[in-house]
Amino acid sequence: MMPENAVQSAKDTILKVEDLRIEFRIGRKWYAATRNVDFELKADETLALVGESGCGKSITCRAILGLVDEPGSRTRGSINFKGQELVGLPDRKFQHIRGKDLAMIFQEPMTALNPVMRVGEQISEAITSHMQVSGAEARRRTLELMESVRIPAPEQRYRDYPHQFSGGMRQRVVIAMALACQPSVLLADEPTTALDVTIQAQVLSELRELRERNQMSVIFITHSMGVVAAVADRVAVMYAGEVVEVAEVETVFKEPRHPYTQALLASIPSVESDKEDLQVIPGQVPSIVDFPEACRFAERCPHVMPRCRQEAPPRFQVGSTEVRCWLYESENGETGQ
Amino acid sequence: MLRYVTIKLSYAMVTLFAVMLLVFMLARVIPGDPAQLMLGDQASQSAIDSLRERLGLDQPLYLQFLDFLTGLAQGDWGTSLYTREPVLNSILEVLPYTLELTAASLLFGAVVGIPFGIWAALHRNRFIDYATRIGSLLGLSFPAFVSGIMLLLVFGIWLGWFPVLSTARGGSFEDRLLSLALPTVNLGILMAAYIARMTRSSMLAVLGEDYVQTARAKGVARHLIIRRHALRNAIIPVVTVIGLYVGILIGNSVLTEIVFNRPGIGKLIVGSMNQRDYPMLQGLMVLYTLLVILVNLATDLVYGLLDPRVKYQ
Amino acid sequence: MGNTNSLIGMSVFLLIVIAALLAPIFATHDPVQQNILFRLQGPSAEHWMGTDAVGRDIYSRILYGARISLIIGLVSVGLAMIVGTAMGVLAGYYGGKIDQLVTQITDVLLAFPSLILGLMIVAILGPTMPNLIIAIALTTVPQFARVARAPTLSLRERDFIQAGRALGYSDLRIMYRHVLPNIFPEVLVMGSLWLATAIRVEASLAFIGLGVRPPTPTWGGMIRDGFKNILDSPWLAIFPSLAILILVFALNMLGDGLRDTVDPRLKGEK
Repeated sequence: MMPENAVQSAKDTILKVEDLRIEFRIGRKWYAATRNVDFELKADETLALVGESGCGKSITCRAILGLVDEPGSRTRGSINFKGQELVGLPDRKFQHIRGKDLAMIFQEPMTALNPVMRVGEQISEAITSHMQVSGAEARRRTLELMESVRIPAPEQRYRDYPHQFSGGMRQRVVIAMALACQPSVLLADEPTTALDVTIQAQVLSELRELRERNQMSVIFITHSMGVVAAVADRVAVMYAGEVVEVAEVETVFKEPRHPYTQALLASIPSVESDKEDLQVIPGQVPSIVDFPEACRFAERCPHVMPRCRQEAPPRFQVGSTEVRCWLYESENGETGQ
Repeated sequence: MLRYVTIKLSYAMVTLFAVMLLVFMLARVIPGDPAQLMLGDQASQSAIDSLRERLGLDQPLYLQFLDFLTGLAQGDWGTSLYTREPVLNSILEVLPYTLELTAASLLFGAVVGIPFGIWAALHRNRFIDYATRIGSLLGLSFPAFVSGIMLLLVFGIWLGWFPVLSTARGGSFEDRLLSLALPTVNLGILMAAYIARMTRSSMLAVLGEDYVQTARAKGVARHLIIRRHALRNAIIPVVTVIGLYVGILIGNSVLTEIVFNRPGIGKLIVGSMNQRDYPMLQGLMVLYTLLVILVNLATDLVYGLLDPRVKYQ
Repeated sequence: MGNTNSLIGMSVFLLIVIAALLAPIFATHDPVQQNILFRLQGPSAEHWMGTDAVGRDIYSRILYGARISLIIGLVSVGLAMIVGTAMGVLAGYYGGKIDQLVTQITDVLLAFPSLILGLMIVAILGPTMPNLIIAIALTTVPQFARVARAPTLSLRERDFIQAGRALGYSDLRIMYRHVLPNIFPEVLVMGSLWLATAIRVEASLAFIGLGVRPPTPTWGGMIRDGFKNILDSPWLAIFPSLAILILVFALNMLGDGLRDTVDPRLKGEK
């Protein structure tokens, strides 16, 4: 990344997630899909949230936007956004933050757009939902946005429907919607996974450019360490609903601490490749109904100790890295609970 | 869009042709000689033979079918055995009453069914959802003549709010409206039940779609999400289903017309059945087929207008 | 809610079936015995639901009438289920010309309001029990064909069917042993829903005057007779009306609940 970013990393925390616990009711019992989710997002940085599919990264993202509110679900813990507590915020109030200061890009550009609404209208809706502007002004800004995300011939494409767009173009529409109100935080949930490899690289570099131009902080969800290396300043690794390690991107690649992070890195042939197979780690991710109370990685861990099966590890500080693993108990004091 | 219309139109033509063939064959299955039936038991053999010749019954079947089709196209739908009037005239005389009733109950069904369907979907597994589901199930369980008799008994006879004897024919505009009310509700109950169920499940499916999440993430207000994003998509399958159910509606209008003693196609069909007026029955079958095919065509067109994806398929 | 509903529906349906089977035991009078002295009486201790225009006991007639409704309903839907499912499975399994033919036939039959089609057929053939069964079955066949065809189409591509073909099993065996068990739950659910419709159509035809000929009591026929006296003796029409409503509603509850169990995604769709 650019050198000035290194200086900026000392900046203020803009979003702070503490002990986030998202629970679902199955039958009569509540099960935690995530627990011990702690991380911070600082101004102007990109934080990668990385892990296998089903590790809880997408739902964490949706919870930050207050979108996990279906019946039979509840969110505990704290999400602090610029000094405002988001957990428990009524939907009516949340609505004014979503899309304005906190925006999100979804994984599937093919289904993320309303099929019966013109593309231009969908983008301008993001503007008119938060600003009192005239129709002509909303249209002008929409065209500007379309241009900024490199949709060719915006004037003509404004009146097109999503099915007339290619996957890459649709994702650009989704990005344009997210950027409509110049949010300070952008949540990107695997925004390139569904795209062709060449389009992927394009969209990634454009996203990076947009981030720098708009001075946004980004949480970038991905399962690919290759993408992590390409976009992130810092990394939070998730496993089975928990954040197990948080560190600067260079540190993670140089000195991965958690055995899961180590296995994750060992499973990629090279950093450049972005289609690695995470399944080479022996064993399976436990399902939500039988998440162990103790360390959730114990059953697959090469360094497993008796203690790992009895007690969940707290957060330990190792250098600049925070890691949830008993291996680091002796090295330093706890930072978490 | 033009291509889509052409395809739908050609499908309709094929169906129309097939049903016409079916109607034509059914008329040949009727026990007894049509000429004999028309002239009665006392007719002489020579009279029967000459009528057979005039009707073209001595010609090969495919020529008869061709004659049948050209006759229909030219407005010659045969002559009633009972009234000796042209079949088409008798039908056209009462058709407006049936269309009026069908349209009114369709409107009733949509006005009642769509809001309840949305309301139930938005409160899934809450009281209003259960009430809507049980209520619509009950609505589907009424044979049209049972609900008709109950409505007539309660609101016509006991409470006396609506006329028991139909004043659909003649009478002032107000009288006609009053006598339309109970039959409309009776026929509309079924429609409302179907539409409420369909709207509910369609809404539920759409509310789980990614683009609804996208709209929420954009910070769109809840009522706008429901109207612009969810309903606009959810209504598409509902429209197609309404088209399918118009056939059922027409069938039930027969029972409704009998119970409320309204003029219409239903009364005509039962009357001609009792009088064994075969040309009239045949004409009515042709009419029903045309109606159903026209409605299906209209449904396809509305669908094409509602869903922009259709134009390019 | 699905399970409770289907349980209630099933219990009520079984009660009615038992009542129909044991009609001679439960009935208080001979259903066709006329008694002009006791005509048009209101409900009493002697005649629980009153008597009709020729003095027959309504309660006993309803019990016997249930037999007609159930026999015609069950046999016609059973027939339609067998024929329709076979058509649908064949069309879905073989595809191509057979599929086109079956789809065309079902489309044509579905284009016609089932009550009108049934009415025409019975009017032409005459209102006897076999003719009523044929007419109602014919209007229901395309429904089953449609329900069976769609899942067969997707099953055909599944691994275990392909494996069966690779092993050289005959098409008939694959359809019977592998396709049929997979689509059976859906077909069964449709069966209970269409049984409700069949009973409704039979009653409607009887109401129009196309029921099984008197003196055999049918619910639709009883309502038809009772409707003539609706002003002074409404119970003649009310009790058989309630009987139809309860039976049809029970079957709809059963089918609707079963559908939720078979396919939770379709909750409340019809």
